[in-house]
Amino acid sequence: MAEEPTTNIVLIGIGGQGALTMMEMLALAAEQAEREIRVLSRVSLARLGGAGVCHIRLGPASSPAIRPGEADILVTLELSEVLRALPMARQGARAFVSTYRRLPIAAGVAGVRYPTRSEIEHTLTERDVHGTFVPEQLPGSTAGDEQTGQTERINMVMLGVLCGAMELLPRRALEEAIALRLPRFAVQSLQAFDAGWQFAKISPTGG
Amino acid sequence: MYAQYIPEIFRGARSASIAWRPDLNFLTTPGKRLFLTGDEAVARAALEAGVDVATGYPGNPSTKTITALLPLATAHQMTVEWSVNEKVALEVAAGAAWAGKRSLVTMKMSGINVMADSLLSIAHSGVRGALVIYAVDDVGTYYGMVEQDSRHYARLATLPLLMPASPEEAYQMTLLAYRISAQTGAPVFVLATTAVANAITTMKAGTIRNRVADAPANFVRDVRKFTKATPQWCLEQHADALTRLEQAGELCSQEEGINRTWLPVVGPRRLGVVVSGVSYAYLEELRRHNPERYAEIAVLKIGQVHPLPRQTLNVFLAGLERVLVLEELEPLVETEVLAELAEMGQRTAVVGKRRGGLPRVGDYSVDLVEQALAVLLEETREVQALAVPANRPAPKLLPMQRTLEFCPGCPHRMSYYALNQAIERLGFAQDEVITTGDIGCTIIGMNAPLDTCWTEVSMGASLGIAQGMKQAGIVRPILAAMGDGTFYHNGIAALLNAVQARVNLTLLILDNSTSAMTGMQPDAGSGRRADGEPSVRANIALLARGCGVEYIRRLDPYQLEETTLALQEAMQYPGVSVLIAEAPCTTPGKLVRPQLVQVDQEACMAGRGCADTPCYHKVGCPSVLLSLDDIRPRLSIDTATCVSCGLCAAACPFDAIKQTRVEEEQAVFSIVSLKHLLQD
Repeated sequence: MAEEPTTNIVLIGIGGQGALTMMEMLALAAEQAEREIRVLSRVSLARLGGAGVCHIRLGPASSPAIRPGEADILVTLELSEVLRALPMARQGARAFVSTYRRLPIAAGVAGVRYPTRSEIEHTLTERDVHGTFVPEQLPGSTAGDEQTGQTERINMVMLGVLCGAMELLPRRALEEAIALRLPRFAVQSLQAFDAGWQFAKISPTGG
Repeated sequence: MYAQYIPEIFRGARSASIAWRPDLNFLTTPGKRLFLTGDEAVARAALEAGVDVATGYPGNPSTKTITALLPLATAHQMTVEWSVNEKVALEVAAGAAWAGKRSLVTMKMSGINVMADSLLSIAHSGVRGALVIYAVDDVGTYYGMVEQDSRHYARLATLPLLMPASPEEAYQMTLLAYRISAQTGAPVFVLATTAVANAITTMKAGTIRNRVADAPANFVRDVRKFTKATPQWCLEQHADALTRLEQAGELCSQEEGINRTWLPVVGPRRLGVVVSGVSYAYLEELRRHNPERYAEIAVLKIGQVHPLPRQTLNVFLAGLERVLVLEELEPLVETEVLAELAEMGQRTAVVGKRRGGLPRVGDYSVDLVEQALAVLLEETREVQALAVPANRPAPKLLPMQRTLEFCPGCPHRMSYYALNQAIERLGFAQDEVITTGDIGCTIIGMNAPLDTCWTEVSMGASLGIAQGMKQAGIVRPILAAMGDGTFYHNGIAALLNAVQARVNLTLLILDNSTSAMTGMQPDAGSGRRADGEPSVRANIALLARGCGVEYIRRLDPYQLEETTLALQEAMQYPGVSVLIAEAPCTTPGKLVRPQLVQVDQEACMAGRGCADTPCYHKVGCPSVLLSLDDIRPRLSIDTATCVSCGLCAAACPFDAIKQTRVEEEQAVFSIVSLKHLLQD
């Protein structure tokens, strides 16, 4: 009997964005849906301004780490971070990229320029990776805390976009995973997730 | 400890790593499929083995074992603690095991160096209950500190060592380690690596041991076994340790699945791979995807790294023409394979680190193992380290470098900023006054724009290094910076030493009353224990006084001018001066002062007279934003993350950053809206 194919996802976020939380939700949802999953987080420096890299292997796998050039999907919670993920992508991979930008202090102080969106898009195309760029704010994504205009539910939005576009796991299992992982903020998180899901469904490059 | 660089920094003592589980007792569910990290798998196995005392020192990637056990302590009649350092942690665990109980001690690799003195001594005495040492080598240094191969400690201390290739094996091997320790009296190492400790996967667990029938603690006096001041007894203890090691080796070899052999499906070429640790997972990945290609290769997976299963190895090697050894870091198994082959008088080509080009630095990967297999198959001569796949050249546009940054409003930033000011006011250039740095969040002062710290060695080492520089004849002021946890861990001894040496230097202790970098574990000055119980707070000023320091000042780092003046004075004091900057870690949304900080865009002279924008370029705060789009630099404050420390306002030469009082309600709202970050 042929094994089910393994989907390899590389997820990158920066300190405080909740990439690890998002990884744990995917893992929990996979558990609920009785799918095999193996994950690995290498989140050094993450809370203090660094980048956290998560490897998610949905399906049968032995190695916890994804090989460079073999990721089917890249998800980044910050715009320029897709450049860090790019060597991991296979030809024809999909990338879901939040357009949220965060200039590292050391770079800003040294006068290093933040790459433009078109430069990043061009680099993705050059590498034959199909990018979907997701605005920081989506209709309904911050319902419940409009006054603050915060951005830190990007992980939930991106989880919605990823799963809405790729149909990796049943929506019900994902929603249960969200509620289990962040019980105190379940409503807001589910709203952000839904906003991402809707975006994936209506976006021309979403499906 | 050590460090470094942890995502859970804001999680507090909530044990958040388990709060998301479907039920809080995820670790104790009997006979069920569990979804665990390597660290947690060790915790689960220790529970099943009936651990009575568990100790550790925080340091990723090993932190999650104790974190998982802490909330279960009461229900399972265990004592679980974060100890003051790894040496003490080991001694506590050994004491419990000498009294006939089962204990666990955990740490990252750097901690093994700290406990090494006691480790060898305890190893030669052996234990009466059972003692398992769980440590993690951060191969590839994802979290910082020295990349080291801690397998050597097993040899040095004459101790058995098991090395898991996956979280499932970490669980299985910890259970075995308890059995071996209980049967032989040898403390047993379980040594993981980051790729095992930080991976998460599902595994089937057994039942938790019922300890009702356990014998009460008892320690029978036996000075021949438990003291060292008689040379003859020391020799006997050494011999006993070797006997225990041999017995442990035999028990291990009998255990199914710890060492495994796969014979080749086809082929006359007689090729073999000896593999240990996570490299086995990489080899499996390749064999899974391309079984035909590797069909003629025999595989011996070794979980029992010390002592090596010599008999199994001998049988496996017999008749092989070529053998590949896969192990990260040092060629330890490889050397043993060569020795075994020499004894066998067999001419077998060994591909590894001596010949074959496999690296001794950094972690292995599926790519690297694939290349190594190509060398074994004689398709290539050597592994080409870090080769970029030809069909996927590196992109021209590179990712931004992200280095460590202090959190918004961090009191350490305030102290270092004040120090930089004090250096300038004393008439020195910043690169004329040395500040030795230490482990933990305080080292972030090494990065731009503060650029304060010059060195980083090990817990509490900044002070000894500073003393040596002074004694070498450096005349200008020298400061040593360290955090409170670092001071308790190993800094006190260095302070005693510096006072006796009568050198002129300043010790700056940045006291936030917690081990911040590893995830806010309490330390001796926190006033609470890891299990949430209130406790006595250590007093750094009194400790320094007790060491013989005469100049001691406690400071509020948020009082910038006062802190700067104190630093100026201390740097000119003849003798050892100690400054203690006391302020807790900041929390997003919790304002340091009840005020709102905003840039008055009309008054801001950025791009029109204010050339160096010190609010950004000297302060280096994540909440001070520099516009990425406008033609003229535009500065603003991210009110969602700003905690109103006011440092940017103090740095502005044009008084363009305004601080307005906010009502209590507004401050509270800000806290509420950000609360979910706390349990993130």
